[in-house]
Amino acid sequence: MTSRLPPQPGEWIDREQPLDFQFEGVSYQGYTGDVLSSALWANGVHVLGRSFKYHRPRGIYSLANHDANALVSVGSRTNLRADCLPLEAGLQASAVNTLGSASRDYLAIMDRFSRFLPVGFYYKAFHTPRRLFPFYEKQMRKVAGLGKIDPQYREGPTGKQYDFCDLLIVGAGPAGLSAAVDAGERGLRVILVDENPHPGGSFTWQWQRNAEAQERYKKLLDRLHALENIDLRPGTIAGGVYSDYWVALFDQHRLTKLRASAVLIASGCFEQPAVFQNNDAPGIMLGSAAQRLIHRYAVQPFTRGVILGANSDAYRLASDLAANGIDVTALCDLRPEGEPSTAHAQVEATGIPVYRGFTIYQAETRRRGKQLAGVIACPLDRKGEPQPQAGLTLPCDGVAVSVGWAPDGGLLYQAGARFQYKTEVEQFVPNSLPAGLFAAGRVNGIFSWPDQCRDGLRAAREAAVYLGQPGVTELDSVTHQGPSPSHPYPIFSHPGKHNFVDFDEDIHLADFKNAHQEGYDNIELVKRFTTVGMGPSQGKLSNMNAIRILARHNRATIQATGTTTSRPFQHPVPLGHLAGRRFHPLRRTPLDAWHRQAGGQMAHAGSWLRPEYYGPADQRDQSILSEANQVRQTVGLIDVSTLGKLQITGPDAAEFLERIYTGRFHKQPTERLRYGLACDETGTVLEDGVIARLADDHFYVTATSGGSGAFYRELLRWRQIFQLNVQISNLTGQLAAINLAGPESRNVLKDLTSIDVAGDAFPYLGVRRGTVAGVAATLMRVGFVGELGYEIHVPASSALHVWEVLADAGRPFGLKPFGVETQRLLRLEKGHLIVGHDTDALTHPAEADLNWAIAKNKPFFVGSRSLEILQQRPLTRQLVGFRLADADVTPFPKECHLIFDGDTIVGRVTSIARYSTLKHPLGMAFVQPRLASPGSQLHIRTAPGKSVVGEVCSLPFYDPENLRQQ
Amino acid sequence: MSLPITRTSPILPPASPGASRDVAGASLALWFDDAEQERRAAQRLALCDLSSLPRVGYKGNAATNWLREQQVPIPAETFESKRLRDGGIVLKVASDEYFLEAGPTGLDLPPQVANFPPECFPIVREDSSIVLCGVRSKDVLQQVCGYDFSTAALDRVVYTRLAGVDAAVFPASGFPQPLVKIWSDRSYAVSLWNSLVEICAEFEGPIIGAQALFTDLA
Amino acid sequence: MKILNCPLNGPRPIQEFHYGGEFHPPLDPAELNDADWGQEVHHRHGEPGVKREWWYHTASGTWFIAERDNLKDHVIQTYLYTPECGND
Repeated sequence: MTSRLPPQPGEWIDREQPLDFQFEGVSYQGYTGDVLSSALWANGVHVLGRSFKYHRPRGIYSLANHDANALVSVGSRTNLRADCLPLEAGLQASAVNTLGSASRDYLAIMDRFSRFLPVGFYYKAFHTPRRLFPFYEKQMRKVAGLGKIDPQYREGPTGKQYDFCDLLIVGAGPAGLSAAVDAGERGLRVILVDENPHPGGSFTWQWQRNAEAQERYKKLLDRLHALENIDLRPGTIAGGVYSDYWVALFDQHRLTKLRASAVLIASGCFEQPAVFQNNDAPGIMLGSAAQRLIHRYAVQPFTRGVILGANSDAYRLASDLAANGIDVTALCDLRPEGEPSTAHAQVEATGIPVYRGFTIYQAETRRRGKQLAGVIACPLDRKGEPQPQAGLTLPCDGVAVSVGWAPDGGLLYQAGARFQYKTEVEQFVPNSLPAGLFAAGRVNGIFSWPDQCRDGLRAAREAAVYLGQPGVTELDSVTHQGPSPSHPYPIFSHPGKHNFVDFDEDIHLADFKNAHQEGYDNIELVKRFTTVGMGPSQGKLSNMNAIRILARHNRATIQATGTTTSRPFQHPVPLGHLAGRRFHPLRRTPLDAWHRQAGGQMAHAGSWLRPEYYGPADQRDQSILSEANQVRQTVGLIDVSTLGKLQITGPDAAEFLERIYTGRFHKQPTERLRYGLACDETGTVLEDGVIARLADDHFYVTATSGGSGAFYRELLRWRQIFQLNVQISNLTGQLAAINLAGPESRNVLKDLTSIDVAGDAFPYLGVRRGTVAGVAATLMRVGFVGELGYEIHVPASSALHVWEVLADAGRPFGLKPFGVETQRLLRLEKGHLIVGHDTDALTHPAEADLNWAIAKNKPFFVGSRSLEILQQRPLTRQLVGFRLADADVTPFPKECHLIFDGDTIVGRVTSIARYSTLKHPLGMAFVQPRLASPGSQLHIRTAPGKSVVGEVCSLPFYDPENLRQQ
Repeated sequence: MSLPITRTSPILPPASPGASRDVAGASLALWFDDAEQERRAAQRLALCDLSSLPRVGYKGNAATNWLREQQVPIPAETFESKRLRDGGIVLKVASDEYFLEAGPTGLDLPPQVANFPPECFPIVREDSSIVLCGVRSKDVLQQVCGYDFSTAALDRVVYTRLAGVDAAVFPASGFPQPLVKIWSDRSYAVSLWNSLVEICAEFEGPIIGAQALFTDLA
Repeated sequence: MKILNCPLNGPRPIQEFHYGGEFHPPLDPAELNDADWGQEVHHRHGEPGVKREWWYHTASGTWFIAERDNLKDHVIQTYLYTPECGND
């Protein structure tokens, strides 16, 4: 059985290209250009899915991309709307949310319980007793939800893309096309998107038999295609509008982040349902859906139909159906006065009986609700209440509903438009638009195609003026003429409780009454309680009627009742498009490849990748300890290129450093290093490092690996505030730094460098410039790890060369590379804190025993005023070293474990090492000052009820006389 | 005179080059597999690593004068550029700061001197330098950058963010194909390169050597 | 995504920037008593309205000030810092 009509002018299907496909395991044939819904309907399949809650059979309703009851799965993709799923050869689709199939769903029994399942039932019934909740949840999860996701689903990253235009136009109907052509002919860069695969909007379904309209449509397309600056994007959804006209566009392949200078919304309206008993039966559909079936897909919606109408559209629809050979049994017009326009006469001429002031009271079905048998129509009294006792039975296999429209205004709301309810059109219409936002056509309350074209032109001109185009002739605004396109209350009560307001969520009219009785009198609350508008179509077919119902319950106007908040996305969007390809750039040192080849265990350290140690992952502790011993006994080599490296130059360089750091630098001799400690304005320790003076007006500064980026940024800010003649250059990535450390380091280096490395010639805390391995280098004598050592800074491109030369030269001395975890252990043994690791966002210098680094009587440095205040106050905590007797205690303490005195927290571990070259575990901790003296016992809580005792000792643990680094 | 190879790019070449040349102590790949094919790819879409080219910066109130004395052409405005003798570029990046990248000979930078005048400070510039070229480079840029390069002026640098990395992007004229140079902090080079390689591959844009860009090298 | 107009680099998407906190005209710490200084460095009020804020264009290293109505999330103007910015 096929309902395919003979070829229609402008049809979207390609009859030359038939396709085979399957639905629920049954094979059918359709055409290229069909959507799944149209192809199934053509094959006589009218049950496309089951409703969410009661599993009632549902068919085509809108055919406008929001038929949320016809959701299917195809392979790993699920919850695809059948009314916008393009048919492909070999497509295998099955309905979601069924136990069995769409046609025979065992969960349809839920419908029998519907009277016992009012809104709020689940909220109220299943939250007590609490211990049973996991059971309830498990049972409910089995029946709740729609399509099943495939956890094995894998797909490569979808590229997102940025794009730009002067004017984005959403909707390529009469208004959007007219606007695009006008703006395009002015030379503006226009992007015109439409969710459908072809432009034209209502030209392609409502005005197909209007020769004048088709002539205009063709001309608009010709002009559009002649313009290279109009980028027409069919099959594209504008999903959300964000700040400054950043619009998310979705097509089949990707998310496009479009930046438009102006946005024109010509998105149209959603035709709205009427609420009557069994208004969800397959075969009952919107008038626009019937016309889409006929004109786009050449499918007969039904053979014998009743029209429920309340506007001119219904009369045009009646003529249209009749012209396509459909037997229209009756046109029930909700309006007692009927249709004033000439459309009425045309209907009368066809002999279709028109019942004025009539509604459909209920639909009758057969085959367990799967097939429409007929309707009972009845007159309405003066209040608009149905009078079923005077009802007539009208046999039919289809109903077309054309009682009103609601604006597709989501994007306008998101962009900041305000709407006003206008009774002339019984519709919310934008009445205040922010600068750069424009609306035209049906969404603007304009319903005839010539008016829509004019309104599109008007809006395009306004946009052109906004975009600064010269010589634009502005047009007067367009207003709706004639009867209202929407009925104010197409909603009819019925004792049967199958008069659905929201098809997505199976919410019927009485549910609203219940919600109101429960006290939900605000539209946002009604939405949450009833879940109206929360289904997959997000209320496109239900929000307007819900507002009308609530307004009536509240005895308020529609304007006063208001709308719910519109949020992105306008249409369901594949999560993969949102996830897309993401960029997580990581910093690598110039020696990255070398470390990997040498077995370095690479780990994230802030934004960097660094080797923690070299060796197998299961020998972490041994490897670190062996590397540490190597440094202590002979010599080791570590890549410290992640160190912040800043060059401060200019006549005011020393003055600038004096203001940033707590120490003094004016009189710092050249070729010497000083420790630098920087605080923020609150006196919190911000950074530390060494400051090398290379010339009077040239300093070279190191900063911590983790903090240097932010520190550099702050220095730039202070430079602006201080207005000093100083240049700050961030050389962190430009230079590599290699620390050659250990008693043999001098012997490794001495033949490789132009610098005299003898102890007297290049003492501790000296800095020299020369060459290492033939490469220009800056060398610094620092002692972070507590041994004789040289920090060698070279251009990043030469780092590998220098490193390899050093490694070769060190081989006779037993040189080994060591990793950052080893360095952490070595510095901990030396009692050196790491800013940001052993200090936190409140640590001031006195707490970390850094007062020695603060110059006395300095008039100003950043944080000096705050420190002056803090120094007068008693300390509340101090950073101390501690040791543990036993490395084998379990659980072993970790960083951030708390220290207790009875039940009181008295401290926190900041660093800890289980194995050290000193043969016992050691660490650092913040503790209350009374516990800070050597010998104090620290009770470190390692697990509930378990603690380990540490003993405070003086720092440094290793080489307290600092002899080895000299 | 050829120096020993002491400098390396942070970016590993995709294969051993078919031909390369030494530039200031580094090896610059001229082509990998087929020079002619790479030349055609460069017209359409390709990536090239020029990080081996030497570069340098100068800062300070005396930098402009000193560079002028070295016969370096001085761009008029900040973010503008001039061409150096062998195809190198000088950019004015701030009122008192310049960035210079040598051409493929590596010889068109000012000489290194022992003493600079007061208030002229040389800056080590070891930025990575990636070239994205061809008529389809726009498609790749659109996937990684929120800046509209279709309206960008040629030979003017744009500081922006590319694939999550802060970068200086320079749409250059004077090449046989549309081309942008992308300078970024060298530590981000591998991340940025990998992102670009992955996206270019989707558009069938290969990695090429420098000869397709600098035809004099052939 | 918002656009912010960097005085040197022109309009750019917000992800190119780093927020640097509310702008306080620099005060002479010596002239404030302890309590007032504490207010100066610690007190941040969330009252909506037109604020002056520090913003930083990361790629070019440019600090500037944006006057922003944080009630409407509307940037009124942006400019580079000069010592005159301290004079309200």
